[in-house]
Amino acid sequence: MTGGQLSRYQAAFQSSLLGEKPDAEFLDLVVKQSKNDAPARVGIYRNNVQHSLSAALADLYPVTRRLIGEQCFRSAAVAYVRKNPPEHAAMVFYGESFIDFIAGYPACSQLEYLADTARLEWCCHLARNAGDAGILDPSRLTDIPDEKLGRLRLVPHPSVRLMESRWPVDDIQLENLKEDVGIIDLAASAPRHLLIWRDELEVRVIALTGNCYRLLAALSRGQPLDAAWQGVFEQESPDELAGMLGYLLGLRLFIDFRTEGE
Amino acid sequence: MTSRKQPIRKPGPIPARAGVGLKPQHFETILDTQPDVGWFEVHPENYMGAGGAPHHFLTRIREHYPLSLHGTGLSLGSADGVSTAHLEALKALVDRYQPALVSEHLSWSRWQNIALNDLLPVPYTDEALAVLCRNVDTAQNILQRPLLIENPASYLQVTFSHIEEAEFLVTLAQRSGAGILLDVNNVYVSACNHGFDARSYISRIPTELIGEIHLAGHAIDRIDGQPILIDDHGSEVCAAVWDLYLYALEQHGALPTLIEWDTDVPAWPMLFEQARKAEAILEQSCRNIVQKASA
Repeated sequence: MTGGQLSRYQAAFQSSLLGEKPDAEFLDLVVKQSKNDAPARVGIYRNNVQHSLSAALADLYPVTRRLIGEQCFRSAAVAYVRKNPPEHAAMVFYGESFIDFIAGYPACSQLEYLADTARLEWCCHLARNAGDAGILDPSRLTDIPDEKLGRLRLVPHPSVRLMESRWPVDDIQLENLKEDVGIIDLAASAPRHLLIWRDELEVRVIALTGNCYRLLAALSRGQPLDAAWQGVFEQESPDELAGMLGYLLGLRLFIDFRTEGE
Repeated sequence: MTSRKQPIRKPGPIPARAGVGLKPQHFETILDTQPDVGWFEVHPENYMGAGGAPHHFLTRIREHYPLSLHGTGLSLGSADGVSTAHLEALKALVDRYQPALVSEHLSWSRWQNIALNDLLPVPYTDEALAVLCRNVDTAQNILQRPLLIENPASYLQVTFSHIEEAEFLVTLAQRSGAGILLDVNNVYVSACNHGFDARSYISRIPTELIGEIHLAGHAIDRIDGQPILIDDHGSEVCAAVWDLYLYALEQHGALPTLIEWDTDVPAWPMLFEQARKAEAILEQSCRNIVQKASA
């Protein structure tokens, strides 16, 4: 073989690992120790690749896996892995598009809440691995003069994620991480406005009120307090703002603050 | 906001003792009990997230033990070069944790921006040797330190390979200035799978190139009725590999030795026991060498 042999070998090996079946020309390149051993030898690598990537997804989406069952999850994961192999060798970056894949997976189409359940698991994964940062001591805010408070911008912890769902995916997650799953009445459940973040090493998921969620979303986008608040409520309501802000600060969500002009 | 990403301490050398592959299941036990093992090794790919528990625990364990980074994702055998993004992520970990050793594999795992998450065999050709030398050189330039390159466990050989594996590995190390990580279990697995002599392979590696030894368990499967050994790191080191390990130590002297266990990871005492066993063999090899010298 001439130059570029290694490239052709790697391309053929790769398609034998992820394709429908091992590439016939590639099998001819394998040294045979018995009559039919080449497909089995390639099969060891094929299994390693597909199994290890599926296992990474299974670790990432334990609730999704429980909802659809081991066998269905494994079939879906292998199908996903073959079409969507990772770009980065570190598994921490792999698997976000599995959310859309599972939403469109025919065997799961009747589970309307499945995609949002998987999305919540991805948000938890991002929160679990987000950067570290020291938490803002709320007493530092007491030094800000009243006339500057409206221009206060709070910097959220890198782990903070926000997610809306028409399904009670927080309860679905909580129940399905228990050994015995309780019953959740989907029809009686209100839509959810979820906050996901990491407090010390623990990932937490809590449901916020719609207003509190919108306030936090605006603050997380970098809006100053007055603009964030006006976007939530038409009428000014300083007591309600103070209460909501105190609640969010108590959750240890912020790492720093700025006031304009500084 | 304070940054915690300061180097923890100066790199200490890895002692010629047994170390253990660090698993998240054992983080708390190790911090609580500070077991008497020589060092720990981690896969840097498991620490490429920005923060959270992996860094929290590794930072604390690093304060008490020397550390080795053993990569699985750099893909030194890729014809289209190593990934710059991956290399930068590895560099950031090297800067942060100041490991005493950084190692990778004689294998490939990435082609055209697809990462295959397995250690795939390289054909032993002049072209592949040139590609590996180039990729090792790139990595060592960015990391500003030599790598150790590990001999692979493999399940197939290709018809157009024309260099023996031991010769290929030694030539790669000599040309690139890298060292060798001698995985004794891999030598045993590949020797059984491809019918070469494991002791001869080990004795062909120049002592001065070897910086570390790996030990692990393997599984036995069958193809067409014939046994094939699978390097699954999922059981105790077998008797034949312990024998081969003693042989390697007698050939090359005492070397830092890692116990690897990556699948079906048992509770900490089992890994600690395997490390104690390796240390007993390290001591035995020293006694054998002294006896031979004085005979």
